[in-house]
Amino acid sequence: MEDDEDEEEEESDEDEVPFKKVTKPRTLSEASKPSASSVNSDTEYQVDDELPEGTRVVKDSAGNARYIYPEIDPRYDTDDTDVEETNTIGNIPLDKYELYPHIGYDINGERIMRPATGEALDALLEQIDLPKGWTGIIDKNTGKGLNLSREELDILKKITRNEIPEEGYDPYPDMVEYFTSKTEVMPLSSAPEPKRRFIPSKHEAKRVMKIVKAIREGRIIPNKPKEKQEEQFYDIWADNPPPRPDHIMNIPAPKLPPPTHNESYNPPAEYLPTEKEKKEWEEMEPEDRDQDYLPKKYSALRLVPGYDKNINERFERCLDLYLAPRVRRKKLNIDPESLLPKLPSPKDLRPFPTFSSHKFIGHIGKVRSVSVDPLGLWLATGGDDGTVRVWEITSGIELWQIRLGQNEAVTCVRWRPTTEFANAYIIAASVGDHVHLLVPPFFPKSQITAGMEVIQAGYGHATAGTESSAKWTKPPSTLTKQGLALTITVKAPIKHISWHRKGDYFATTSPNQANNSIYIHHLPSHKSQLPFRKTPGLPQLVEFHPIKPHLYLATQRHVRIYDLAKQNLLKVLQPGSKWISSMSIHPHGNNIIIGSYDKRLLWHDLDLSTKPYKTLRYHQRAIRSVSFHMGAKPLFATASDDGTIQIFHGQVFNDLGTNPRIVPLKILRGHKITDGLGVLEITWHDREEWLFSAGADGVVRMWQQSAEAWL
Amino acid sequence: MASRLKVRFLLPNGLSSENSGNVWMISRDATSYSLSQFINRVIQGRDNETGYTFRAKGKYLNSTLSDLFAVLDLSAEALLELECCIHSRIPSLGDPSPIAALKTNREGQVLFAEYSGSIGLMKNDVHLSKSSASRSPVTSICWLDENRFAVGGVGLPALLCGAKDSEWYKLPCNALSQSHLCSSLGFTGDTLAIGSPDGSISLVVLKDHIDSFSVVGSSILQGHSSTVSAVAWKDERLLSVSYDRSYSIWTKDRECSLGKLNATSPLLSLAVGRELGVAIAGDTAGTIHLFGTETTEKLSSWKAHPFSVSGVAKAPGDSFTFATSSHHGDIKIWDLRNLKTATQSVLSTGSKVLALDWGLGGLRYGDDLGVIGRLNV
Repeated sequence: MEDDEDEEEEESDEDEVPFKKVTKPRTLSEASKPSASSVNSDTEYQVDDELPEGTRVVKDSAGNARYIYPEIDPRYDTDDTDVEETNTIGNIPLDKYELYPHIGYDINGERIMRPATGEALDALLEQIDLPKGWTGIIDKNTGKGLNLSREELDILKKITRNEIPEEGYDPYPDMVEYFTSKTEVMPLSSAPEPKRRFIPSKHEAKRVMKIVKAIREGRIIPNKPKEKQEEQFYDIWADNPPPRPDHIMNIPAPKLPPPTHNESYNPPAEYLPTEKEKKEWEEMEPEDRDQDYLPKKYSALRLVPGYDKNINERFERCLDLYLAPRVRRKKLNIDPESLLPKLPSPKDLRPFPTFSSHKFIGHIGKVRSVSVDPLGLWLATGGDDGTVRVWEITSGIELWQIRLGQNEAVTCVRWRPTTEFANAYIIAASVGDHVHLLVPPFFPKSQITAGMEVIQAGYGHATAGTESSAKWTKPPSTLTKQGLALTITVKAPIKHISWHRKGDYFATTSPNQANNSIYIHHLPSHKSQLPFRKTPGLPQLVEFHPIKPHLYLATQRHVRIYDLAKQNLLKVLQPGSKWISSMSIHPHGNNIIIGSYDKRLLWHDLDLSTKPYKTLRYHQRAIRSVSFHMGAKPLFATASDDGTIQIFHGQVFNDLGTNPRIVPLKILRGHKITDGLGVLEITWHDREEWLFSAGADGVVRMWQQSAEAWL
Repeated sequence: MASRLKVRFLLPNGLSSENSGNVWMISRDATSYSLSQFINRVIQGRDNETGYTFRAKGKYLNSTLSDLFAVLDLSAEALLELECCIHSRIPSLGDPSPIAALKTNREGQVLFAEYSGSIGLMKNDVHLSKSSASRSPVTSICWLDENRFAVGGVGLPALLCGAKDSEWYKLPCNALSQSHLCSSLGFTGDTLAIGSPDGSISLVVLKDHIDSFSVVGSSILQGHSSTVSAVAWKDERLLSVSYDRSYSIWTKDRECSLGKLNATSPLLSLAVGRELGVAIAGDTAGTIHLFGTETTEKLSSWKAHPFSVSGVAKAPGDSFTFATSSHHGDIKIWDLRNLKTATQSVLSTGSKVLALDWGLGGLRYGDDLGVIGRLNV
């Protein structure tokens, strides 16, 4: 029974009191020391001599001996003689204990009583001698006097003397001279002298022989008498300056004119200035004076004083020489032509537009936007007069027009992309904060019906759908007959429309708006969504990637590429321009050109970096529009406020190792600058090398290659 | 600047009168006075509406004095010799609209189509009638016989019509309305060729009932990849030109093309010389190409106009002469034996010439002001 209780106690102790865990091993390690505390000697088994007193040996279940050491009572069994009594109250100030008889607790949780003070102490002091190492300092934690041993006092002393407290450390040991300047009588090395120390040097002999040879040949004449040099004078009166010794860096200073009577020390009377002239000369700015001196008359040369401006002029001269050294510039013998990159001649890159063949005249005021239909037969334009007009491309005849705004300009016109002729023909045109979808009524009835069906298919969706931020409305029937099929109203004026290649989606941009600026409209379901809750920067325009489901968003300074399928940001292009005006994506999709209002055209190769591959500054004023040829022709063009259109060859290679080749081809002039605006938008024909430009002068021009190139 | 101008009019042959050689002093104040009226009334002594075009110092002029003074920098002493060319301009009936197509039949009746969608008839320079056929432009027409014709356009499938008592009316032919847009028309014997903007050519065999047509057979020729801008028959062969820059010859069996030739720019217009076996085609760059009609052989190409040859027409009586017109507004007459320069009169109308036809009564053209002009050459 006793055994069981003991074991239980042991277990419970281990569980409950954590500090016992710490004390137990320590006591066990000290177990060999004989304990002074009393131990129960009535044990059942005989205990070995080496084991501590009170150890019992019991049999365990396997029959082996098991030692049970006596229970240690911390109060009595611990040998406290060499253990300092530590106050365990921690960082609590002692004045909290002023009202109590104790000043803290020891490691066993027992109170540490306040030591005696005052009269009782004095009485005690009288009785006893000062203990060794008495310092007179009271240890805060124990409340008793702090005693220090001799060694500790030594260390303190050394520290106060700024010495290293370590015992036996010698900071100044005797120096051992390993290497000395003294020649050893008995050197450490017994190696023999090298041979070269006592045979004549071949090199020296060679040099001597060279000199001897030169003397024999008479090239060096020893003790040559010095030639008498004739004194040389500079002839200031000579017409031509004497030739200076030729030196590559010597450029003779220009010859000064010979001195005149004016500069004489004794000039004739007519050269002497009058009082009035003197005064005038003195009042003049030194830079404005004709001559920097005044003629003065001296009766004899010996009366001429020293030149008073000598120091000043010396300084000025030195300054001139320092600031503008007359050094002959080394001419680089490089053919400037060879420094230019080897570009093919524009003649070899034909066809490209060279002259304005048609003018599409009809718009009143600026023409803002121009778009070619997917089949390349008709041209749609929109302008400040609020009309959208459709023209026949080959003849330039206006086929149809509709007035969409009375005072508002048509800002953007875009044909819906289709691939087949039988498909529906729809034009999207933006006026203010409206997008109008138009079905031109000059098409055959079957195509008009097809167009109206595409547009009207979504009416059911719109009523059932959730609340949309854009409003899709059906125009009155009078307007429907004229060709207006649908109107979408958003929250801010629209400046740009971009269709997805399949013709189901189109995006509108309302620039310079932080929110509600970009909408993506889905035509079959009549739904509009805002893809960006908050757009970064000021959006200028968006474009769809020609192949991939990517959206290119041009803000004021950057172009961001978003993956529409994964809905994440892929890349941020940094063109480095101050304000982006336009962008166009190459039909293969890996290259993009960006036009900016600060006259720059930036070509980005998406395979290379986020910085532009090429920056072209050819325009005099802001670039308004850039456009890639979307067909097979490697052409692109830029239009600017300076009234010019520039045509470039821009060949993109499938080989990843070859960078795009850009060649400027032609500057097209024809549009007049009106109100500081030149060409507002350009677009290419889908197949032919025909360019269409909308001008601020109210004229749309078609540009094509002149026939001479072919013949 | 002198207030009067010395002018001598050089009239065309056959029009000279006793006043022909005179030098006339014309006051600059008479700026609104028409020179054509002056010639008709004063020199000819007749009161008619014959129009003239004038050429002086290599420049073509419109017929008012103000234009003359504006264009030419004239001095008082110089004698101005004005070459005069008879030229009548008949303005449109009703609202003017660009003339898209123009054809004269064997009786001298002129059929014209406008961009406004109207079709009109004209005879002896007098408008007979004009009425709307479509809301969309009518761009191609062809005569089937003396009083029946076919029309088509961007938004108008090929439509068969008849003309009677100076009015035109639609002929019932349901099968044709199924065909889609019609960019060019050509008719021979019983077959109507309809070129389409999508590049196909439909051949429709028509059976003639006195008051209507019925379709007895049809086939589709696929060969062009873009708008067929003009078709023409040469005996049993069909020639076609297209915006895809190609010129094709289709054989009698109408199944495959005999050959194809590529030009340098989209081809717009086509005319065939019946006697010589030469087809003349004009393109958007102002170049005229000569092709063979028997073998696909490119005979010649030369730049004839600044841009866009809108029409080519063969002279009816002369196998070597043909005329071309352009959107630049000039009309030139050429001789196949000498192609280096335009051989005969060259006219600048000042407006876009969109349609050209050479038939009975002379060379007629239609321009974008809705005027039908006639040249006596």
